[in-house]
Amino acid sequence: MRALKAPRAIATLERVETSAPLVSGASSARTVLEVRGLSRRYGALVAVDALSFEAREGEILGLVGPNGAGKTSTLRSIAGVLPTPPDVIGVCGHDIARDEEAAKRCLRWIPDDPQPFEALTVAEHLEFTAALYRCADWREQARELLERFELTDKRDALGGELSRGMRQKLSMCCAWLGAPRLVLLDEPLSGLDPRGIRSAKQAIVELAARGAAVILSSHLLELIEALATRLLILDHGRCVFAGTLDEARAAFPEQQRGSLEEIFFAATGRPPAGGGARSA
Amino acid sequence: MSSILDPAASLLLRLKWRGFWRKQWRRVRTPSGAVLALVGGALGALWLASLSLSMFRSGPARLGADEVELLAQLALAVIVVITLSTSLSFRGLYVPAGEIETLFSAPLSRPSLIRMRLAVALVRSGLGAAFAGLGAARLGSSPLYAFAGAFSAFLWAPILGQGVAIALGGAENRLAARLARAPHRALRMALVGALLIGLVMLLTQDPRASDAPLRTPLEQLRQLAEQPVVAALLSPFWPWARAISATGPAEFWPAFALCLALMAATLFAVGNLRVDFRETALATAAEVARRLARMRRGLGAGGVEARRLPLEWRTPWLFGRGPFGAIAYRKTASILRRARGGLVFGAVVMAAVTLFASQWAGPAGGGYRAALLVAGFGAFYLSLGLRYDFREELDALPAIRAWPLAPWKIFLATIAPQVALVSLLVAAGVLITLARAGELDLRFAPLTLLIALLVATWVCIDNLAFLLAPTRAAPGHDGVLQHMGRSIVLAVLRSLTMAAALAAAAAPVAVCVQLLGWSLESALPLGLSAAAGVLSVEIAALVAAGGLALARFDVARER
Repeated sequence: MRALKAPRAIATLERVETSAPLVSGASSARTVLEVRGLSRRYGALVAVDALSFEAREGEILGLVGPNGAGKTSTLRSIAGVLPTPPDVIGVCGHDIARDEEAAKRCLRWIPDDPQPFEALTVAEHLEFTAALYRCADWREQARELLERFELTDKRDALGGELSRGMRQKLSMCCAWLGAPRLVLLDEPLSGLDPRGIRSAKQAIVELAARGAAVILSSHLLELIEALATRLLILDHGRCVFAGTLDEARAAFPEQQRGSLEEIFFAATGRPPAGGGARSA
Repeated sequence: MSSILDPAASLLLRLKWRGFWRKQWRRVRTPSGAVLALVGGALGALWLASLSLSMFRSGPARLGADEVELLAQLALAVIVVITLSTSLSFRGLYVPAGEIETLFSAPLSRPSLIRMRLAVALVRSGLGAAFAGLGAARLGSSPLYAFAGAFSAFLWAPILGQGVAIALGGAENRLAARLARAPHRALRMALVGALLIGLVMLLTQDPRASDAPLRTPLEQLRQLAEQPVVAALLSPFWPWARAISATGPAEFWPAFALCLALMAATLFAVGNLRVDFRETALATAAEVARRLARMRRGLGAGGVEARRLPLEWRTPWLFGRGPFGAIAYRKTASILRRARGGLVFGAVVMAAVTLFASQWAGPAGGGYRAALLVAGFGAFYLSLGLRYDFREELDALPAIRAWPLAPWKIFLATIAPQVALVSLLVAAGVLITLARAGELDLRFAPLTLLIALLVATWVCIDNLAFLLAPTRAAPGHDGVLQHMGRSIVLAVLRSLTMAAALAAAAAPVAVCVQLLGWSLESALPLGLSAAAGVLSVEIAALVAAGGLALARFDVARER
């Protein structure tokens, strides 16, 4: 991918420095996702305002923010569901606007309420996903995933017959199939039972350990605190903090021993200083 | 298909096709599903058979080849215009909302998505095209040629519509920013100006064209088709019209080959459109999903959305301020915010019926005959047309059942506003009819009461049937045969129950006239009082049954 250039329209905005060291040992990891000056408007509403960040191999990036902060719009733009101009989003070195199919082949997207194809069985969803992402020798992995997410006995159930939690599990099975380089998760634990939550958490950590970058958007701050290696806090479409939890504590001195929840309120409870982002 | 489609898209279509038949099979495996499918299928088969048989019979008046060609050309023009105007509501590429996140984030090219959608559209329009072909076969000189021509035309129109929708979506994307800044007032003025100019041109056109006396509607249509502008607009449909009207192979095959070539060219052009339709497709999918959701909630064919009333409008608490009144208030607010179009339409229909009934009954002594006509038709039509009852509550029924009120009271409070509204409209029609006839007297009061009781009886039966066998179907949902069969069975059962209720109400009058030998006039006062009493008892029983049905309602039974 060509080097991503910041569009002129956001040139005046303070750039978010995202090259802060990750958790130990991860700093040499390659960049999987580059976002430079992403903006998104719905009429007069600015949903995402000149957002820039990166995600690297093995990283779990926690995306948090109040309702309407622009999290889902950001994820949908990265997934290619929403169009973006060239030189704004790069996935595995492919510009999503110029080289869309190659970029999408590296990523998987699980929306907050995944909707499987109504008339396809669970097993057929995996067959389709394998064909879509050209996964070779996928059957054994599919069997393992079905077992892991407790869907083995549901393999012949239709997509339209699945409960919310089952749909979530099926979408995870599909997303985990093959070797995704970037996985975008929007509220991935919605509808899951405690056992499913534990499996999902473990699967996310293992996915990152295998080298995938995971962007995890959730209002469950305990989940983000437990899994994320780095944070991106959005408010009104703008990044108000980017960095690790320790760096967040340093950036908000009054929260030296604070949890992510307290940092979240500190970061979003007042307008960002000088209108720009606070970064580590 | 595989060479044109991405292999994954091709696989998805195959899996969906298999899934469709699997779902049909699963539906007919249950006894009720099988019976309902049989009833619905039998009805569809009868219709298809009658159309197929008529294909081999001459039409009521056999037309010449030229006339068939003209009619076919005009009909195709109308169909294409309708298809294109429908396409305006589906800007971009229509992808169901549930699939859009998966498909748009998948590594599939946009032309591949378009081709996938075109394949689905072709399969879906196949059945409609077959029906149209069978209809055209009655008119054509050769039924088979006419069928083939009409069938291909009805396959072509949706492809064209899809292409226009995508192209318009693309143009909208490009122009959106400019249009957003454009002075809207100037645009409106330009539009009004263009309309005025068109009107002036129409009024000042050369009158010589109408010098010759016209004999038949066909001749008028021919004259219209010969206008240069109309002829130019109709010319693209000539190959299909010629194929439909062909009398022999020499006429048919060249025309049909041209039809196929045009269809292939349209398919190729649409399948290779390079348009980023994501924005418009997302908007369209969201809009269609909202509309379908409203229709699933039973808000009528248009899926009417609630609109905020002006602030000075206050929804009246018609039935008091207690829990009963609160439930009725909620329903009244729903009617006032959702049903304004329906209310206006109902009022217009009632006005027309009132006018017609007054003229039909004649000037002298016919006031009450006309009023009975208005009452009968109004109660029937408005009860069916203005349905604001449990149908729109299906999603909320689990919560409604938890309300702190006896189920029969909830049942009554929910239907009361609809009964009041329909009775009010019908009573107004009756009042106006009697007033126009100069026969407004005291008999108006019992008649109004009887109307309200009749409406209440029907609404109770209708809602009871719905709670016992809840069903909701919207376009795009499967199980059409079962839904058709279920609707027929339920309609018959409801009608029989209503007939039985009316027979019981009319029994006292019948006894007086038939057994006791009273005249109808002398039996009426007692008979009507007795009818009102019987209807009241029936309503009480139906409300109790409705309460039981509501208490035992199981959302899982919904098909």
